[in-house]
Amino acid sequence: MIHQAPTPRTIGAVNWLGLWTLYRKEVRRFLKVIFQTVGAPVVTTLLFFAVFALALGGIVRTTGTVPYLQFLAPGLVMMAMAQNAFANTSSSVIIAKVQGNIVDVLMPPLSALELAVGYVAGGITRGLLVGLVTLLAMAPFAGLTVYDPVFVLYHAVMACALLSMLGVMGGIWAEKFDHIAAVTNFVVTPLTFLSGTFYTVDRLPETFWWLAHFNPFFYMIDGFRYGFIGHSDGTLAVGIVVLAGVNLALGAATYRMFASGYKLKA
Amino acid sequence: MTAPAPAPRAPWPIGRVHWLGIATIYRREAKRYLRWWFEFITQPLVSTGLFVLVFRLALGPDGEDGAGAAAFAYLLPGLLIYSLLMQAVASTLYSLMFDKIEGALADILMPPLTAGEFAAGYMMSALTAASATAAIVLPIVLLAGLGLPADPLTAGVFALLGCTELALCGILIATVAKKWDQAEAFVSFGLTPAAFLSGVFAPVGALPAPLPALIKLNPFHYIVDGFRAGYLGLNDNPVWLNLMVCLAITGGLLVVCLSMLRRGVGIRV
Repeated sequence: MIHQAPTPRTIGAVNWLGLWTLYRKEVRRFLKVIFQTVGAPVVTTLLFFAVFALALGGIVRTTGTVPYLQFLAPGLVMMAMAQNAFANTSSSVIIAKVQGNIVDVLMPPLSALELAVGYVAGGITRGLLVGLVTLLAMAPFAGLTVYDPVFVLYHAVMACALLSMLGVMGGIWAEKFDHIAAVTNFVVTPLTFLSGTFYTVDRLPETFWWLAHFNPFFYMIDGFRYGFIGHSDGTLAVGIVVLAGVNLALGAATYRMFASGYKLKA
Repeated sequence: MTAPAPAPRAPWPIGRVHWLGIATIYRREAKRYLRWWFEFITQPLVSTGLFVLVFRLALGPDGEDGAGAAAFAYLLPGLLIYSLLMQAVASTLYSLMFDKIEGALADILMPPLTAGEFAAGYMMSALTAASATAAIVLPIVLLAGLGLPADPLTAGVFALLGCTELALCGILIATVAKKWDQAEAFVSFGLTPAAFLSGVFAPVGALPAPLPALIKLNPFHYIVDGFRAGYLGLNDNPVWLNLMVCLAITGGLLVVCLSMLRRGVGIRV
């Protein structure tokens, strides 16, 4: 009996199996240490909430007409989502690069677009999961209700996508863990902390107020919060356009990085 | 004709305390921090700076009664001691975990060091790291409007006791934890929540009913309260009570830690 040589798998316009495998790898990577990747950020965020609610008199305070805790909770959820979406893709890429197993991702027949989509989808998944758990834990204490689910979902997904793409780009650019730590410390953490998570930007001095309105992080938080409390500091339409525009630009840049092999292929 | 056998080297006499051994561990740890100097400096700088900004802006304008400003002034020493305590635990925990995971711990266990000398080397380096963090964080809280401590001796004693407690905790966790994520779980699910919910950021008296009593069970509360008593002259508990609790906990941790190290729990196979 003659064995027939296996025929090569035909891959259509999109390598769905490859994309799905990369996505599954990205998700399983963080689920394996779910206590650190989801549990820990949820606890930290809840601690912030507890400190502001209990210790700093958040229960009795209001921001404008909105109870402060209702104002704070969406901001904290957005902060947690953004930080974790970034952490997921940046750590995945830099660890693979440092350990050398990035070739396992670069060798298979995956196009630059499929690589970008696979990584970014993994980051979005972690961001949304952290956000959802944090939200469910906080909602009863904050008295949070959903005002407009479309705004909630749009801003959650766009924010996670934005940070995931920043994470991929950071991971590709970085040569050492220090570089990623520097980006996290000097860019991601400050922007997620200071762009209106804890306070309304009306409270900022004039110059910073203007800066806040050029800051995509501000629109992420502001629009997401609008989805819960029905009130925004900035113009919602501007926010929607800014987020879409920034994501398109970052998407193109991420694609270019994979396509050109920048710092990935010798 | 054979060459005369070299005279056997006399064993190096180690006195009652192996000073050179302690100094060597200390030097080894110091080199480790110097290698990570950039992260070591920037991490507390950025995180404390952000905390200061966020709390200042979130606590809001001072209002007529100046409540926001008063709450902020109360919080600043808390931020300072919080950074020091977290640095102390990170120092011993991550150094020992790293050596344990990488299999380099044998280099520390083989030399003729007693459990006490082992602990002393790591404790001293952790306290040095915490002092360095103090030098980094203090300018931030001073810029934010905090004065110098009213009673530097009291503040210093509680900072020292607190960092000792946390550095000992770091050693204990490193012996118990088998993997990185276990070690980190102790920090993110145990120490950080305990530190946050100890009255570090605001007066315990202002909390709703069952919480003040619960916080009295939290060892961090006594470190923070004692430190703030020294810094601002504001405290919930009498200073002697804070001191007794801190001393008792430090002593207890020291006994447990030395016995674990002597028996080699988690570090000798």
